Amino acid sequence: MSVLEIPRIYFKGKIAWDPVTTNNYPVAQAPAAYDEDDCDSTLNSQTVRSAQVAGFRQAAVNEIVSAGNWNPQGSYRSPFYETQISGVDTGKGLDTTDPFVTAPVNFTGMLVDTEPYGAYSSQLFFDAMSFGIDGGCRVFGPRTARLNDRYINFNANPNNNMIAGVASVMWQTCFPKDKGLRIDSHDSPALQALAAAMAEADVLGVMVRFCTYRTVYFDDPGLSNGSSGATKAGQDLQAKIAAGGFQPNPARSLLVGTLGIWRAGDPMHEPGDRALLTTGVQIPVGSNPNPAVCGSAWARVGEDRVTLDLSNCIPAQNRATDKIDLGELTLVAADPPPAVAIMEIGKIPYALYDRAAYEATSGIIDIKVDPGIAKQLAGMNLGLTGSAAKYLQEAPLRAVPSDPNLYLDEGAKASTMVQVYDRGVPAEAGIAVTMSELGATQPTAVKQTTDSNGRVSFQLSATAGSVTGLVFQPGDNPVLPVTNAFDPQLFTYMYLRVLPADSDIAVLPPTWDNVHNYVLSNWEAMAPCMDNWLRLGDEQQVKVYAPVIKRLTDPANFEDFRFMPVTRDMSAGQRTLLYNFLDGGVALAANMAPAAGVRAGQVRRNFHRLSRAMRGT
Amino acid sequence: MIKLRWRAPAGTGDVQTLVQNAIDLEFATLPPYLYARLSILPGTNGPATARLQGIILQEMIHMCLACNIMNAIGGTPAIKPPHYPGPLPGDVGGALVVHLLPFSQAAVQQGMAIEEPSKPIDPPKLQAVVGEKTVTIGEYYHLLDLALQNLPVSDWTANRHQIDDNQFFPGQIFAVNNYADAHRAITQIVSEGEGTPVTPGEDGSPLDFQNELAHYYRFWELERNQVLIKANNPVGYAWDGVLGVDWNSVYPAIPDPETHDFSKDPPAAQQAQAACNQAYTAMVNALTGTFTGATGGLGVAVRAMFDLRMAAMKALHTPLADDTSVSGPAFLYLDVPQASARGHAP
Repeated sequence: MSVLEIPRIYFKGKIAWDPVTTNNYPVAQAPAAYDEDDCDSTLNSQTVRSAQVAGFRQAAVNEIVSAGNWNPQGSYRSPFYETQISGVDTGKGLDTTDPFVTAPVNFTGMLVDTEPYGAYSSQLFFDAMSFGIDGGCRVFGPRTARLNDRYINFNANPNNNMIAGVASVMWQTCFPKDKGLRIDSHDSPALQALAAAMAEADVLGVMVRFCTYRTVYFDDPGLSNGSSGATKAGQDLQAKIAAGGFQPNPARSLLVGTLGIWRAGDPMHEPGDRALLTTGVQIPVGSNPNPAVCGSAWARVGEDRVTLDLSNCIPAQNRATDKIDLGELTLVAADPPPAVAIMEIGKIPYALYDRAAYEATSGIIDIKVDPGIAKQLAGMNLGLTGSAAKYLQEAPLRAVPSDPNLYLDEGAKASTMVQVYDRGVPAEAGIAVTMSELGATQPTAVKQTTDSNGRVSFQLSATAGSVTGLVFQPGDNPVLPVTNAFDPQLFTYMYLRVLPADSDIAVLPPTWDNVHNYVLSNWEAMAPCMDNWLRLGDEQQVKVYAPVIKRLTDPANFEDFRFMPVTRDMSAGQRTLLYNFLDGGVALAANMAPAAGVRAGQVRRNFHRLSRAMRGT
Repeated sequence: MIKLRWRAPAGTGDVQTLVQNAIDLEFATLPPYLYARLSILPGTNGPATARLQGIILQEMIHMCLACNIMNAIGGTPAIKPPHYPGPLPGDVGGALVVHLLPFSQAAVQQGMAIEEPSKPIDPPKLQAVVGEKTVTIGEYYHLLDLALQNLPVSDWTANRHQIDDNQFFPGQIFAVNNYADAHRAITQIVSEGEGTPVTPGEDGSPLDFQNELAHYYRFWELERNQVLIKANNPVGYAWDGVLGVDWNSVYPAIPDPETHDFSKDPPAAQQAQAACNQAYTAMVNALTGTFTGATGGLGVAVRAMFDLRMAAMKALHTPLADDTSVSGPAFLYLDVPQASARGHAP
């Protein structure tokens, strides 16, 4: 299953992150902040209205230095850059001579947090991913599912201690073979193998999994939290913003990833392979008081090999991302407790997981085993040990929700399906799954039992505007993650964001004052980047672009790269008031003469189409 | 094919003049490409839009890199808006008069003519040219590379008004602090425009240094409405399929608005064109500030570019007197930055 199968196509490069960060601040924490329950920008704890837009923007800029608000003028855009196919594996090990190698990987997403205050619910909304270019060796996939961050490890690189520079995180999505996926193999054996695999009945399409790490802020890889350099960088950004214009401050990360087979049963948005969870063993990193910790990993047992995905596992010892030398690691297997016998599967010397190896195969390691071993491992628990400690231990059962980040309008009814996996394959009936609230102070929970497909379904409540993390635990009597016991390295979870109804806003008279006050000023304040596209405080512009605004804010286009608001936090009531206003205005297209015509000496134009296009855009 | 005059430099001042020529040339390619791009009806011509957008962004980057080189060798980049129709700056071939054309076969053929590489170009071991010579854009850059290589180390100043990628164009703009950086910049510019040239030791390739299709070949795809694909033949590539160009999904935009007399058009059209001129002028002024070290200059210029785009969209939706056509931006720089809708005679 998954990218751990053969063939595999590796890629590596960089990604820029350019979110607006002002909404990371809860209301009481900073003057310019955000109420994630009510979906309101706030200034000094008051909801922003027209008169507060300028004040909010200035307060957000002030917070660059005073509160660490590192990107008040972001664009949300997150493009890959300098990213290429780095190698392939068709079953004979790493191959860097395949014609697909060095092909560019193109991707641009919009980075949006479902829960703006937290770090566990980032998403990348995008329209397509392209590995290679049109006409050449290429895999092109139109988006079916947005990317979601999972398994963030805040101890991945303690020495890169600038904001979230210490962290690494995984992303995954899949592209169904019957929904526009293109594989142009040409003379690439790896792509030929991938294309051939698509003919298998239980192959659903292509999976892409990548890990981002070593994030740099202010374009300075030497900055540290609280340092004079960080303060100076913040002041420099403030000076830029004071100069006017559009002044984003994107962060940058490295990435490694793998493209491979998506098979029936694999989850789309996070690994469903055998889960080797971190034991949380603290690993000293020089004189740094903060230790490193291995992230969780995944494994697939094939006929002649065990394949490990360590892409988010081995921590780095420095900003250059050299991996910590844990000595020779050993992959072991043991019968479930209370048995104590341990079988050694294979050795992993440092050379197989050091930085060079990591970048070459995106953290994936194959360990050859005798053909008979696979059957034995089916009922055993895997683990990864070093001379000093055990770093990973398999959790046989995992409960993976189908909606990693779900948005609902207040009053809507919904349910979410959870698939339970037993050592990497869909589980059987009769397994208990407990759903509890992340961060809850009381151990309250709901329990369901899997059906014959290993699935359960939970009803979700959308009674009021809120953002809730929901944790899913398989098995009997789990220890609930109450208070702060939640660890994204160990738990599977989803976020449910309920947008308030704002019924009182919906019924307001559709005047410009009301629309600006109760709808548009919210994003005009929070997202100055909107000035590039549409001045949300300009009544005439808003009226002129009414068709465009309605198309971009249409819930039917929620998954699109260009959906507005990017932050997906416009309530139904706000949309009603906005549309009532827009429907009463005069769109720019109406200024055009309806008659068709031909200008002498020019190509004949289809004015009917032109007119339709103007109304529709 | 553009032909440029190459005059062997006698000193740093001459090299600065040659770099300025490169800046002028890169800047001059933008309005015709932008005019074609802006004239495509929204929601149509996806492959064409993507190709043009990619070319335009790279041309912007080329101009930034050329300005970085200029600053690194002690010069002061100047942004000199050209007039259209007219020759490209430095073109001595005289055959190509560049127009502002809405998206059309003529527009993409013009793009091909601008980007056309010489095949084959000079052998890899280029020799410095004594006196004057007429050269292609690619050859011009190669000779400029040699001229820069011959500058003494003392002529290079690190960190002088450099634009890098810390805000925009990640991975594509970088500071030029010495000859090695300048060589890298020139390699990128030539590669993205022409691909890998055919030389005695190389078969050549339509791909640039990042394995993306070079500008000339992207225009060629549009012109043929086909995709250039890998193929097992002596050339290594073949034409295949249909790209999906729809020449009719275009605003009915007039060509060369600078030659149009807007005084006879409705006030709305005049105002729309004036807004375009004002936005363009503000953008040029902002760019000038950017390349002379203004704090936050590139961010100011980028905002001005978005303002120009908004003004252009408005103009493209505003009928002219004939009630059937519209106009895109004339890209007319106003010496006094105030609104004006008057066109210039060619």
